[in-house]
Amino acid sequence: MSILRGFVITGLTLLLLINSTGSVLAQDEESFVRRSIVSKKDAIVLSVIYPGLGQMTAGQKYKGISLFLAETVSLIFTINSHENYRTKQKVYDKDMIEFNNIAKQQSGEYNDALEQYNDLKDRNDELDNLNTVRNVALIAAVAVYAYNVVDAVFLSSSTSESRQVDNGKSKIVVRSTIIDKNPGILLSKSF
Amino acid sequence: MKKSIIFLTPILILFIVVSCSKEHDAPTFSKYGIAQKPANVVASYDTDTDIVNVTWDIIETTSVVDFIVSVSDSSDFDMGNVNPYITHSTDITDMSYLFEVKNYLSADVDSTILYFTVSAVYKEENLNYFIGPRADVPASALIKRD
Repeated sequence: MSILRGFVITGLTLLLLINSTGSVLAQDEESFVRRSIVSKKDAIVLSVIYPGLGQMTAGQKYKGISLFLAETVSLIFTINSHENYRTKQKVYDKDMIEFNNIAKQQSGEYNDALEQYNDLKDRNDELDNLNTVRNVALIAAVAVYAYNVVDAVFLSSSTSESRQVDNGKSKIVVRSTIIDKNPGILLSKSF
Repeated sequence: MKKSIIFLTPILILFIVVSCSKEHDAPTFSKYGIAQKPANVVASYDTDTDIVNVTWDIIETTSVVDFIVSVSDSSDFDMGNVNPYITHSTDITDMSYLFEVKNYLSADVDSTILYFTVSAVYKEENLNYFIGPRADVPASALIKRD
């Protein structure tokens, strides 16, 4: 249960981080536009490859890092609890066979069977808990991934197109943007 | 709303699928449920023959093929020196056993207390001479030799 508690605390911390960075990001949309180095399409592709990558490269650094960490932590918990579950399950299955064989072997005793049954019952509860931790971690990983993709596709205020115009010596970047649902055009030039 | 549905639906489906994917089975004690504890164990010592007559009851004798009478020299049964004796019953309905004290105690012991308990032995499709639970209360017999 300490693993589950740790997971819940970590998850809540990451959610708070995501939530708190949301307001910062809302105020930082202009800088997001300035820092955007990839198109929206590329950002979506990167987000599909691994959560947070698209947001990070699109300028939403804090949200990207939060999603990246949330996904990584969820996956670590999933893999760790899955391995733990499988290891304990193998021993449990072996003891379960022994328990069932008490009846078949000659002169098996009721007290031995009862003792082993109680032990198996406790371990079955432990396996149930591990299975729950594993499932919650997996669902969290999928939820973060799904949120990340949905965020990249629907939710982000981001540049939709960018085009570079060659103006002789320097390049002027022309972007059509949507910031807080307000469409506009952003012109930027690098010196 | 549409975005929320798109976001939540796959997670909900995954939760249902994953929740049902338990890979271990809970243990069941049903095959041992037939085994019963004998009751009303009584032990009476006959000084003339130096034999303890142990009797007991058991409600259901289906699948019972024998009994085991265990004797201990301690009131805390398992803390003592415990010896099991198979009754080799030819008639299961005859629930008694004559315990010869001379085979257990040396002749120089004048007085002691022995404790007796009984288990049924089961043989059926799932149980292979399985020794059932003991009677809850052991019977005591005061051995007092002349």
